Amino acid sequence: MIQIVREVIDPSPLTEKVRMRHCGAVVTFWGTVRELTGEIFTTSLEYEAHEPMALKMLTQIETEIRQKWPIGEFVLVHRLGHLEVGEIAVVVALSTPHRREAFEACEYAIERLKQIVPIWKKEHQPDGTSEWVHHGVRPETRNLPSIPRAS
Amino acid sequence: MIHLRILFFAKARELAGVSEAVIPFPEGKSVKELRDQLIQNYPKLSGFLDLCAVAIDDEFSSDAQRIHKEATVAILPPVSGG
Repeated sequence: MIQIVREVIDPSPLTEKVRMRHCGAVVTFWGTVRELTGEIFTTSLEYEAHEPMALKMLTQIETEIRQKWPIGEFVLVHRLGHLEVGEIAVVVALSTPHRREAFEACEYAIERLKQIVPIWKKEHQPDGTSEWVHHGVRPETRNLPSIPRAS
Repeated sequence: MIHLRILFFAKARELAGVSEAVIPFPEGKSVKELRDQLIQNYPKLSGFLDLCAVAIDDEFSSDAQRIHKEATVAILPPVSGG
C-alpha cells in the first residue's frame, strides 16, 4: 500500500497491516522531523510533492523491492504539508520470512525514496528564515544505493 | 508549434514566480532547448535549472530527448523527501 497524506501518520495500524503468517520479520522505519542538522536548528518543515509522479515512483520502488526480496506485505506512507519537530514524515513497514531481507529491503526503500521521488522539504529556522533542502544532483542521475541483494 | 504545460516545484516555483505556465515550443526540439527557453522566460532559474530534472508526462527525461507532442513538463529540483 502506497499513500501520500496530509494528516498525522499513526504508525501502529500500518505496522499491524504488514504482519503475515509466513513472515517471521517485520521492520518499520519512521522518518521524523529532526531539530538539529549540523549547527542549524529547525523549528518546523513544509513538505510538498509532485503527487502523481511521486505515487508513480513510490510504486516503482515497491516493484523493485519485490523483485529483490521475498516481501510479504509492503506499506509506505508519506505526509505533506506543515510538520513540527518530532512529527512523522514517512513510515515504511514491510514483512519478509527472515530478518536480514527485511532490514535490507526497508533500508533500500527509504534510500530510493530519497533519490527518485519528487518530494521536497523547506526548513523553517528560529530566526524566521526558511530554506528549501535541495542538496545533491538531478534526481534521475543518482546511482542506486549499494545494498547487497538477498541471496 | 506545440504547447507545453510546465509545472514548477519547490525552489524552482519560487524562482520562476509561478507554479505553472503554458508555453509554445517548436515541435521536435530537445529538452536541452526547452531548458534554454525556460531560462529566457524565467531568468532567475539560471544556475538552478541545471540542478533540476525535467520530467515529461511524469517520466524522467534526458537533455537529448526530443519533444514531439503536447505534454506536461515538470521541473524537479533535487529531491528531499523522507
